[in-house]
Parts: sequence; C-alpha cells; structure tokens
Amino acid sequence: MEVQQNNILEVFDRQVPASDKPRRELLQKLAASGLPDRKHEEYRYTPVSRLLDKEFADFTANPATETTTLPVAGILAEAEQLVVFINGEYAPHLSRLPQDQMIKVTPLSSGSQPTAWDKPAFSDRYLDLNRALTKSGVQITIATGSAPASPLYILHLTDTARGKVMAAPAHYIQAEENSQFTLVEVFSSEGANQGFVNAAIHLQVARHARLNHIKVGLDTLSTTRLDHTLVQVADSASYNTINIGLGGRMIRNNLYIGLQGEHAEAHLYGLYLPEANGLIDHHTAVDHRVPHCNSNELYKGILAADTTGVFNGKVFVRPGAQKTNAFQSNKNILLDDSATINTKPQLEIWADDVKCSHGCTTGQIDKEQLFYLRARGLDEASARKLLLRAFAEEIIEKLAIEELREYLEEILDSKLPD
Amino acid sequence: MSLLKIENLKASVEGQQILKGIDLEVNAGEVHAIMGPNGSGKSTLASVLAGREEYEVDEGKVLFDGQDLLEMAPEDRARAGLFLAFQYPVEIPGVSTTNFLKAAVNQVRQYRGLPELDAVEFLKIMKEKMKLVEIDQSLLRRSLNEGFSGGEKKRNEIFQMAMLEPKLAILDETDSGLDIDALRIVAHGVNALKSPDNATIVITHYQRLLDYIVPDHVHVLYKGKIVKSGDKELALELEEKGYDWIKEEQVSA
Repeated sequence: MEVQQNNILEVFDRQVPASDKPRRELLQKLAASGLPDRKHEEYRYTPVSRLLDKEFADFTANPATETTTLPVAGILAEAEQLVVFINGEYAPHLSRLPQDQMIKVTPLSSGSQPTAWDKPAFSDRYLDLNRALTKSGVQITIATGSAPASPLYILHLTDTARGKVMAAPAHYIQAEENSQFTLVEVFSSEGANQGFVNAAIHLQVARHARLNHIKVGLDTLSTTRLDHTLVQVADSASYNTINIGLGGRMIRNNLYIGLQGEHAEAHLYGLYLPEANGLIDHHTAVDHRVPHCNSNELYKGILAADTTGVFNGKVFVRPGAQKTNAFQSNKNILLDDSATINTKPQLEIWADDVKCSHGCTTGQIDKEQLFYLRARGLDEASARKLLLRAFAEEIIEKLAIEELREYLEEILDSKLPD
Repeated sequence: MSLLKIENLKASVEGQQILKGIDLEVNAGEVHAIMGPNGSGKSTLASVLAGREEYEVDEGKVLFDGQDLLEMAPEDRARAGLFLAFQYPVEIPGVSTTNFLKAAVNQVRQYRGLPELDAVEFLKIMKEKMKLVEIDQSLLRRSLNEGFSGGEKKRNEIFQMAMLEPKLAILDETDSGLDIDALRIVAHGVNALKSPDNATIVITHYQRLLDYIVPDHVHVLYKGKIVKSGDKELALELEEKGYDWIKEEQVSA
C-alpha cells in the first residue's frame, strides 16, 4: 500500500506513541497536507513518495543490530573516530567515540532535540516526517577554540538482509567559537530488500569556526534516501561541504545554508554519478541573510545511460544583505540519449549592491578534446575515461583527506563507463 | 621510400567540397612545405590525414607506410606514426600533458611491439625531450594548454611529437601566434628530430618558418588543388610576390 495523504496517520500509527503529543501533532499536520509528490514543484522530478509504502512502517524490531563487520572498510577501517548507525539506530559496538575532550559525542534517544536549537528558515514535509519519526541520532559538540586533528566519521548503514527497512536518524552538530573540524558522513547499503532512509542533520557553526562537512553516498539500487542538511553559519565562520554521490535508487539531498552573521562563508561542492535506473537530486539553498557574506557553489554530474540527475540551486539575498558575493555553477555531461538532467538555478535577490552569478552547462564529451587525445594515440575508451576523470577531478581534488580521496578515485574509476 | 602517397583526394565538410583532387608523395627523409592563401584547404588536408570525423572523404586514396590510411581510426594513425601538430591546440582542464602522454606513449609502444615504459623510464625520456624545446616540467603538470601562451602551446606540441617519435609529422600553421624567439625554438626542435627515416609536412601561410625549417619541396595549394610545386625558391617567390600571381595564373589557364 502506497503511503498517501489519507493513510499517513494509519501507516505510522505504531511508530509514534499517543503519549508523544508534539510528534502526534506533526503527524496529524502531515496527514492534513500529505507528502509531496510529482504535483509539487519541489518534488516534481523526484517522486520519492511512490517508493514509500506501508511495509516500511511495519517493521518493529531493528533487524540488523548484530551486524559485526563494517562496510566500506577502505574508508572506515582506519577511522579513529567513528559513530555508526545501522538502520537508523545507534550501534555502540561498532562505534569508536573520541577519546579527548575536544569532541563531545552524545547519542540521542527517541526524538530528543537539544534545547535552544534555532529553527532555520527552511521547511520540507519530509523533514517534518523525520521529526515525527526519528528514534535516534547523535549530538556532537566541538569545544571552543579546539581543532581536532582527525575527522569524525558517521556511518549510516542500511542493512535490508532481513526485510524492508525505514530509518529516520536526526543529528545535531555544534562547532563552537573558533573551532575547526571535519565531519564525514558515509551512507552505505546492503541487502536485497528495499530501504527507505529519511535522515536529517542540523549544524551550527559559531563565530570564527570552520566546519568541513563531507558526504559520501555509496547506496545501492535498493535504497531510497532523503538527506536534509540544515546549516546555520555565524559571523566570520565558514562551512564547506563536498557531496559525492555514486549510487542509490532515488537520492534526494536538501541542503539549506543560512548565512546568519556578517563575513560568514559557504563553499558547496557536489559530484553525482547515479547508477543505471538511479536518480540523484540536489536541492540546495544558500540564504544570504546579512551583508558581507560569500558563497561559492559548484555541482557536477556525469549521467550515463538510464540515469537521472536533478539540480535546483536557490540563492536568496535578503533585503539589506549588501556586499553579498554569491556564485553558482552546475555542469553536466550526458553520456547517452537515455540520460536525463533537470537543472534549475533560482536566484532571488532583494538587495542592490551585490555580486551574484550563476551558470549551467549540459553537454556531451567535448569532441575536440576527444579527437586531440586520440590523435596522440589513445584509444577512444581511454580518452573518454580520462576526460570524465578530469571533469570529476575538479570536485574530488577538494577532498583534503588523502585516503578518502584515493578510495573514491578508485570507486569512480570502476564506475565510469568504458 | 614513399612514406605517404595521396592520390586524387577529394574531401568535404558540411556538404561543401574543400579538397578537389590532391596528389602528393612524400618520401622518408624529406621536408615538404604546403603553402597557400587562406581558405585554400591547407588545414582541411591536415585534418583529413589525421582522421578528424567531421570531414568526409569523397574520393581518392592515401597510403601511409604501405597502409590504407583512410581506413584507420585516428589513434591507429598516430600509433602507426602519423603526428599532427595542431594549429589550435585544445585546452583540456584537469588533464596534464604528463598525465595523458604516458598512457599515449605506452599505447603507441604496444602497437609498435615495444615494451611499456615504467614511470622512471618515462620521466628520463621526458627530461631529454624537454630540453629540445626548452619546456619546463611545471608546464607539463598543468592542465593542458589552459592559460598557456601561444609559444608554450606550440612548444608543447613539438614536445609531444618528440615523445611519440612519428614517421610523418604534419605541422599545421605551427608558426601562427609565435614571436621570433618561440619560432626559433620550435624550428630547432623540429630540425633536431629530423632523420633519414622520417618526414615532415610544414603547412604555413608565410615563408618565415621556412627560413628555419628548410623544405626540400614546396607546394602551393589553391582552391583545393596543388597548383604549383617547386623547391625552396618557390617559397621565396611567394613571399616576394604574394599569392595573387598564382590566382591570376589559374584564371588565365
């Protein structure tokens, strides 16, 4: 049974106890509004609701807490600090919590949200669904002035070996003043049954802090995933994110960055390479709320046969946010007639003294470049691969963690079509 | 020995015939210059020989080192020993010369039955050839031709030629966009690579380059045909008189 407006309450009834009034209210609101489908502009190309059926909500036990081996060992085997979530549940037996005082990691139980957490100017009904259904997550605080040397990894594993799985983790990350930190989220899936992940991560970057946030999507075709990333950046702070997506049935990224304090900065990079019959969607919003902020955004897609990419880049420059610099670019290479890209820049500017630009290109492999390399003796397949690698490299090279970069380069090489 | 034999070559691009029956024979050890006014078909000839797909061969035959050149893919032409120095070398962001040339050299060597070069051997050969065109290693590590000066682009073309050791090099307007110093460096590189076993075709609009790369034969291409051939004196005559007398000769003939 597909989840529809009229059965939202019924479907998720057992997931939210009647005693939990705020979350029951959220569910009721969702039941009144329904979940967005193709008729809603924001989800026009990414009809996630079609893949969400009642069976996901029926599971009671967490079927995978006994998992003892880490996936993606190439990345995680050496990770010094690792927090593992399996099917949305915290898995302490696989986690390696930080030993020093600079990083405080607190697992969150049933839907608890840290107090005094500002609500960003972003709304989405799937985010509301995450709020209503979330059972666990983690709160991470990076102490004022600290700069932990090694990154912290969060692994989200969806293990569907024993049946359909739905997961709705919600994390809260606080980088306190003057801190510097790198957070890596890895999404991975195993098992032949369908998985539906609706994850949220809320981040606050305090004054003069610097947060690097890397996301790696290694989902399989049995996973549908929504990922809501809500960031608030205080004055003179910077938030840098790199999102590498290499699989999944239908992956929807909602990224909202509120530049809240003057001289705040955001750098957003993305590379998406869906698998055949897969879709990767990036909806990004950079919200310049005050003057003197900079944002720079570059997303690149390689779309092979039977893949779909979606990019929607919103840039808001609020009234009074003078001296804003906002740049956005989306570039796509289509490798086959059956590949699709839907791309839409959306700039809303209410200030007059700003520098904003956006650009978007979609094309095939450049024929001149291909001919040049072949004229030097490279066979066509090698030449194509080299050009695609070069196209991707502009994003990959931003990864400052060498092991991670090399690992992803290898995966990328194996995924690029010959 | 005949390295290249072109017979009655006719070729079109976008339905318009540009080459209207070219005959040309180039032997090992020779330097040929092909001159002619703009639009006469010089670059089209280079493109057809290198295998650019937008060009349609309507008629004719090209034998390269005994093989039917027109039947070969561009990469196989390169591996068999044909090299085109591009008039406008393309920019490839994210791909450095070092990066692609090692793969290219090894694919070429494999085709020629030679063992692959490892990284150390490749670097050693690269360093030797770099001297030839006074090119710096840092340039070879940068994205190909991106932000290169005109001189750097053309020196890089000749450097690649040195690395690939072709039997026949076609230099397509290599002198365009070069100052006199760069011209001298490029010409020095080409001359140093000359041997009794290989040959060079220099395509140029001006005689200037031919002061440095002295041709054994000079051909004038006009309206898709070779209308005049001679020795290096013909190039000097063209420099002095321009192309108008050739055009007039054609009209009266």
